Amino acid sequence: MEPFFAARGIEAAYGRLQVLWGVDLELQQGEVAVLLGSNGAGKTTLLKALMGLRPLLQGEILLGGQHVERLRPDLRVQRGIHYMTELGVFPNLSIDENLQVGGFGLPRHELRRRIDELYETFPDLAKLHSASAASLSGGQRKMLGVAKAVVVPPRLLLMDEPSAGLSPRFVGEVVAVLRNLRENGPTMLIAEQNVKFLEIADRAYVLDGGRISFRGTVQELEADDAVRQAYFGVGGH
Amino acid sequence: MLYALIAGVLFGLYYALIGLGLNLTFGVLRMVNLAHGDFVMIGGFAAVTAFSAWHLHPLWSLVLVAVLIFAVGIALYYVLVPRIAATKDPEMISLVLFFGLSQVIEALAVMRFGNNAQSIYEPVFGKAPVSILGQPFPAVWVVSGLVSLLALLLVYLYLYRTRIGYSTRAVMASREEAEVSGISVHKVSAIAFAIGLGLAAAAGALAPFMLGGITPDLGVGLTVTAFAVIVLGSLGNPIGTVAGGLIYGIALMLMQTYLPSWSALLPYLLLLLVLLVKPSGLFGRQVRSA
Ligand SMILES: Nc1ncnc2c1ncn2[C@@H]1O[C@H](COP(=O)(O)OP(=O)(O)OP(=O)(O)O)[C@@H](O)[C@H]1O
Ligand SMILES: [Mg+2]
Repeated sequence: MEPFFAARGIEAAYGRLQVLWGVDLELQQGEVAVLLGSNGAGKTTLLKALMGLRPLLQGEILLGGQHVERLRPDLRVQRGIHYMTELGVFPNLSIDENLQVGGFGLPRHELRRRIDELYETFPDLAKLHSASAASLSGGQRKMLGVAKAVVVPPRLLLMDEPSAGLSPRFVGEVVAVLRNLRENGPTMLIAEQNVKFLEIADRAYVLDGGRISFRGTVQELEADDAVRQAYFGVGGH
Repeated sequence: MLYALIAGVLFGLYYALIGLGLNLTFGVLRMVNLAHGDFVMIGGFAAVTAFSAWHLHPLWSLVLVAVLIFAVGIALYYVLVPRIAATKDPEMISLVLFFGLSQVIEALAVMRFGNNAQSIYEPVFGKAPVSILGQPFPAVWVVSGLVSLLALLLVYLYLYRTRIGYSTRAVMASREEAEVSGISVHKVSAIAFAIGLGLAAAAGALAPFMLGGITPDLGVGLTVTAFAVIVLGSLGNPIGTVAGGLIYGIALMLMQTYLPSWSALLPYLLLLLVLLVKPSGLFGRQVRSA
């Protein structure tokens, strides 16, 4: 079966330094995949390449059978690929403004309705709606990042280390939010070093030195000795 | 003293108007438009010429030239910026290109208008002074101050009350984050850049009254002044520019009153002072990521 999302033979570089080598990824509709990899493995670069922020040396990217690798980032957003970066929000905008920007393409009344829905899901954000995003705690900022990424429901949601800089309690909260998000299903690819995210994943990839060194289901991953040592040894369950 | 303060506020609003456009451009593009002052000069010559040729009131010239230069700005953006952005060292290239543009505009102005100062000598805003708190001021200063205030307000409403304004501020925070949020970064930036030039030209239409005669070499000095104003108020922060303009205007008026021979140095002195004391500007956050 033709997968919902496929990236094939992705190669990317910074100047002469090539950091991705023939990366292949596939996701079925509604699937959640975690992309593990240590610092410098190339996770961010891969997401940026999928989003069109880094040019490809090689490779193709298909969403719903259509090529997107030549599209500008904002046009990929129009196709339904959303990207929650590590920053995730605009610190100089208020929460409400962040959400409005997240819903850039929506008509005004629909945007308002969507934002009110999100405020019901994220009551913390509703309370602080006119506060600037810079004033939020790390955890709240991630919540806003998630909310902003789903104002327009994505078809594919790419996330870069949603746990970065969060205390374990907040990581738990983010995982819970993503678990809820899963229910009504965007396909998700989450770049992470924290194995807690495997709880909500169907599938895992491990990126090592710019190459995929493991691919499989979460169960297969947990049974893999090399991976266990690398990630579960330090990270803990 | 009171007189100098009030005059300072009027001129301060005007200088804020001159600075604001440069800061908008810097905010969205992270490039300093070294030709900014030349668009003020263009606005000045346009007003002078329209007045001598058709007796067109400078406030009409202001509106017309602002709209016209806005359109020019959109075109200029698409000609220059994507090319600059595609180079290896966009910051350096942008400086060189905008400097070149400034030189070209100045040379063309010399060919068309010569090197002599031109101005509007008729009292188009009436002869009677306007009294503020018991102090008499030339009507044209008050009009210019109010017009500047209005323009600043409109820009504020654009940036803080419209969706495209939010997107503009989003681009100012991070082009990359803006792109992946689905914003058409080029469209938003082109509009901001064009508004910036339009504001410069609008300020130019008032320049015959606020700055005296218009000469083709006016641009360079005005760019420096505009730069001082926005560094004072912090680069990339449009609200800070208004504060920067007011401080600049008041300082200028105080100096012209008490230390007239030093006042030409003011922009440089203020720049130095800010860079030494608080490089992020008086209204800057601690660190701005570029
Ligand atoms: N802007 C850049 N210029 C040059 N090299 C870069 C740049 N960004 C990343 N790299 C290099 O590319 C490689 C992959 O970096 P990348 O940021 O994709 O890794 P990562 O897996 O996201 O790491 P982390 O977990 O630390 O976020 C690293 O070797 C890094 O040094
Ligand atoms: Mg990374």
